[in-house]
Amino acid sequence: MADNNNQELQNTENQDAQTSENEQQEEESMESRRNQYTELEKIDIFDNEFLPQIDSMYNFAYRLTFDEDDAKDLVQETYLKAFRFIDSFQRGTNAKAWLFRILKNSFINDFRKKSKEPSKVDYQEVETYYNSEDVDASITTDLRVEAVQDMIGDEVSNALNSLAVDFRTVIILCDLEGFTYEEMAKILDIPIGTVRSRLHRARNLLKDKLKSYAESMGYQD
Amino acid sequence: MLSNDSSHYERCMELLPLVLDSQASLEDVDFFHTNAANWPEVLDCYNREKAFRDALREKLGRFLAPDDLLVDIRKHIKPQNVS
Repeated sequence: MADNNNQELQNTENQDAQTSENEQQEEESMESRRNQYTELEKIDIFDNEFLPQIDSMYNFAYRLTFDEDDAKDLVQETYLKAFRFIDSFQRGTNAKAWLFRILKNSFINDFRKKSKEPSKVDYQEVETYYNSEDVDASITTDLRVEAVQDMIGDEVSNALNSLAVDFRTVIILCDLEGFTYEEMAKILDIPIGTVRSRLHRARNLLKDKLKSYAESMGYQD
Repeated sequence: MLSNDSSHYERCMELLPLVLDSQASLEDVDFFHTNAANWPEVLDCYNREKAFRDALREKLGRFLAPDDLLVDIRKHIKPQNVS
C-alpha cells in the first residue's frame, strides 16, 4: 500500500513536470500559428463560433471536475485563453474541437495541479489498458441493455464517473459530444489507433461496472 | 447461414464499431448492412451495441451552462483587456 502511495506521488510529480512542459509547448505552438484579426473580427469569431459551444463546454467541464464551481472556472478560463490566442484559430475550422482541446489542456495543466492530492489511479484499469494494445472488436463485454434502460441517470453517471479520467474522457467526447476519431485524436494528442483502443476499453470497463450494478439489482445474464 | 471463417464475416466485425460510431465510409456502411444479415450474431452484436450507446446518451443527458457563466465570460472579454 505504502509502495502504491509512493508510486502515486512520484507519478504526480512526474506528471506536474510534464504538464508544465506541455503547457509551454501548447502556448508556443499557438503563438507560432498567428492570423491577424481586427478587434471586430475577434469579437465576431468569439460571439458566433466560440460562445455557441458553451453548453457542450460546460457539460464536458462538469464531467471532468464533478463540481459546478470548478466547471464554471474551467470554462471561463478556457474562453479567456481562447480569446487571448484567437489569432491562432483558423476561421471556419472546427471551433468546438479547438475549444475542447484548450479545455482539456487547462484541466490537465491547472486543475489537476491545483489539487494537492495525488492522482487517483485504478490500477486494475491501468493494467487492463496497458497489457494489450490491440483492439479486438469481437471481445465485447456482454450487458443486458434492458438493465441499463431501467437504471436512473445517476446510476449510469456514477459508473461513468468511477472510470479513470482518460477513459471517461473518450466516452464523453465520442458518445455524448459526437466527435470523430480524428477530432478526438487532435483534442487528446494521441494517435487514432489509441483513440479506438482506449474507447473500446472504456466502454468495456463501463459495461463491467454497470453489469455489476445490474446484478446487484437482480438482473441475470 | 454462412461460415464465420468468411473474410466477409471478419470484415463485418471489423467495421461494426466504425459503423456504430459513424466513422465508416459510405461504401463500408453499405458493405456492412449488405453482409451483416448473413450472420445473426453480427446483427445481434450490432443491435446490442447500438442500444447500449443510445441508452448511455439518454441516461447521461447534458448539463447546461448556468446563465451567469455567459455573463461572467462577457464581463472579462473586452478587446481593451486583451494583451
